[in-house]
Amino acid sequence: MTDDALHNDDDLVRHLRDHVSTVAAPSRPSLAAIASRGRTHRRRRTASFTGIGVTGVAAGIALAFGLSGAPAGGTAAIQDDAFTLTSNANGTDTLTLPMKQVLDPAIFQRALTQHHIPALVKSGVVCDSRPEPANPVFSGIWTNPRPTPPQPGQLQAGAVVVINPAKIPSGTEMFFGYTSSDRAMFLNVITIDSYTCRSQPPPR
Amino acid sequence: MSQDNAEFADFFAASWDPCLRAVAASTGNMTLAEDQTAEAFARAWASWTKVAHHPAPTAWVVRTALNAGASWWRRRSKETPLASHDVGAADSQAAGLDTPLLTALRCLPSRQREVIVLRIFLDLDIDTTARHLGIAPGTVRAHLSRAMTALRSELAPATTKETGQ
Repeated sequence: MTDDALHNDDDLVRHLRDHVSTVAAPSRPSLAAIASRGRTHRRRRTASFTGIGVTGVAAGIALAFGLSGAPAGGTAAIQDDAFTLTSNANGTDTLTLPMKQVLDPAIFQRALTQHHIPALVKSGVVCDSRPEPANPVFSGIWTNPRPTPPQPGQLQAGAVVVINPAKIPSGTEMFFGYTSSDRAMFLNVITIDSYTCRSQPPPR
Repeated sequence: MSQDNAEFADFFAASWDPCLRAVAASTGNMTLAEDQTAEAFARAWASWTKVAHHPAPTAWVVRTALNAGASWWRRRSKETPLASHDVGAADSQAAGLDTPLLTALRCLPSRQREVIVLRIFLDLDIDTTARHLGIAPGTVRAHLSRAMTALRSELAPATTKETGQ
């Protein structure tokens, strides 16, 4: 250390460094996951530079349109390596979560908005409303996901769920809570102006 | 693997832990820090030709992660806070982020906190810290001095209590 402030505070500096070095850091993600997420950024940047015909806000999604090609039957599919969202002829939307890369919550949120699915997407938290506004399965908001989730509302890699936006009650929206460490998504229905969020992971 | 990819892989392997710890210490929330740090490394991967020539790539990652976090906090500030089940309360305790020292660090003004993170946690020298923040070296010294004074002041009662004075 060369500066006076640190010379005069050697103990404090050592204390700070010791503290930080003992912070329990989770293991680092795979390089492939980082690269995959980085590719999404690169594609978005390229799309905005080459004028694929999208605004900056929708660059990533619009590029995904290009990658997925024109869907059969005129339905629109939005896709990247983390999720696919496809409109069905009956007004429902099929969400598939291969989660081959870390999901970008902002892109996912925009995809849901484009499919007219009122939803809140957050990373690292689970949100809910008390009392629960609706039982999402009984009220037909979504069908039971495949494969069977390890706990209610939890989707893991490979999950497929069909969402019916028309069944979402007024004043409510879907909640998607994404955790990159578990590569899992938590689904819920929340009241738009009254919900609470908790840190992950939820009790198992 | 191309040379660029190999260089990034080495950088990622060597820098993940210190960057994550620095971000976590600054934010107090390990879950969010993990996501923000992963996001920052992904952006570094996407712009590696530029970031590789940055005077301090680790500082670039940490600052990018913290900026991503600032956006998250801005969005969250519009929500109703929860006292007992607030975001990160549980994981900050589990990760050891809840100590008086790190709590005091998070109470510093943002510029002072940035200087502490870069100068002390990432061990950058004064000139590199100044270049990265776009301020004069003398300003870095001033922020550092004020930050250390503030931290010492915050911790004084605890120190006195520990030593019985």
